[in-house]
Amino acid sequence: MEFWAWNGIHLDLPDDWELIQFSKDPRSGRCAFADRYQLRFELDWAVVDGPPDFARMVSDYKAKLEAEEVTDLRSVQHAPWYGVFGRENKLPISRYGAFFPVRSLLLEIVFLWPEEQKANNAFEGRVMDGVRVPAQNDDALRQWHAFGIDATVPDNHELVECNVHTAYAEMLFADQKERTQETFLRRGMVSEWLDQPLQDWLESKLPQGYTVISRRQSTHASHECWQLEARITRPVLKDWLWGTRHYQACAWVCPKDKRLHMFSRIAHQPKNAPNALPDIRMACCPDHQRGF
Amino acid sequence: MDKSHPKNTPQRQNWRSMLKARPVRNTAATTRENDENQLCVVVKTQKPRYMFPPISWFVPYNPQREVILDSVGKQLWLWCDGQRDVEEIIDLFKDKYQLSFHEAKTGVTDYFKKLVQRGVLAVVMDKD
Repeated sequence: MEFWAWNGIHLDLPDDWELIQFSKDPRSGRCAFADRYQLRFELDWAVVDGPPDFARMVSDYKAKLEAEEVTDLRSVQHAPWYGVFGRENKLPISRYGAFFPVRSLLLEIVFLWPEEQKANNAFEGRVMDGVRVPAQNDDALRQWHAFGIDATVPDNHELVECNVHTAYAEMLFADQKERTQETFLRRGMVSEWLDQPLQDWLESKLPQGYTVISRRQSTHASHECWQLEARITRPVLKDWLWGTRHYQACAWVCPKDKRLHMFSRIAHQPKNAPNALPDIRMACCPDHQRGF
Repeated sequence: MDKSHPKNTPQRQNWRSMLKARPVRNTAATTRENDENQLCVVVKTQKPRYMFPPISWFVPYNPQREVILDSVGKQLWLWCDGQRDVEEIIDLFKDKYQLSFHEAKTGVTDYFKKLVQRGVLAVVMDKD
């Protein structure tokens, strides 16, 4: 089983299921996972005021499905999950809902079984048991784990952009006022496009208007990392108000997955509290994790 | 999303038939390699019906089209031997570059679409 963490929802799914559709909205959204042939699993979330009346919800939903000519309908339960099983055009589908009071989240999950397979209750139970909504930890950090990126960011930072294509995944987080931004990047097929030393490539990623103030290189668990720190060259009013903007970046090529990993942060750094920024971290494999 | 009820039936996408299709090279295409490890695929183009004087005096017409494939494209082209299906090619691509299946699928199918549009590749679907 492979671990996924999205929007503070943790789950374990079979290794060959991949995230192919996602929403960024933390209040209400959807993620869909597929094996190589079809959609297999869907996760929906919504922030609600309180726990819904599941018994009524399930019976209403069954009535609705009956009207839609879904056959073989029956209620299913795997605490704390309540659900309905049915067949649509002979294809088995199981739908479950559960309420997670820690973040007042209503989660709905859907298992889509292929034509040639029977719904496997034991498997569904294992997946449901693995769905967790961790409470906020003392550090107020949240882990995201998707597309091979393992990122830890402040809990109140939202995913504002996520670009994924072949051998390329990038996630951009920001606080609500966009005073702090974190970017996590993971790129594959490195031998095909990286035609310069890694430190030069990292420097080429420096945003316009920043001046490098330090460069560092370190090695940990066979991972050779390059780190860069820069400061805005011409401060403007907001730099006087919130502190001078600083840019930090770190990059390495993981010898295990052979991918380039890079994370960076742009943040206002107040003069009176230069180390007040919350931690961010990126991991590429169990042996290696970096942060600042 | 309806917050009080589980969502309606998700769309059942199935890529099985697409993955079982076989990409086939244009048999009329000729190829040559250049010094930069690229492959140049040349296909003949049909002369458009409107290509007669005076239009042909002003509108250039090239009787052949060249498509340059980089080293990755060249590898994909070589795998398109008419025997392998799209799924097998995706698996080869995935293993060679240590990608996930869907990552490789997106790259390979997008690339094949471009080659089909340029007339150098055709995709054969099984009847069933």
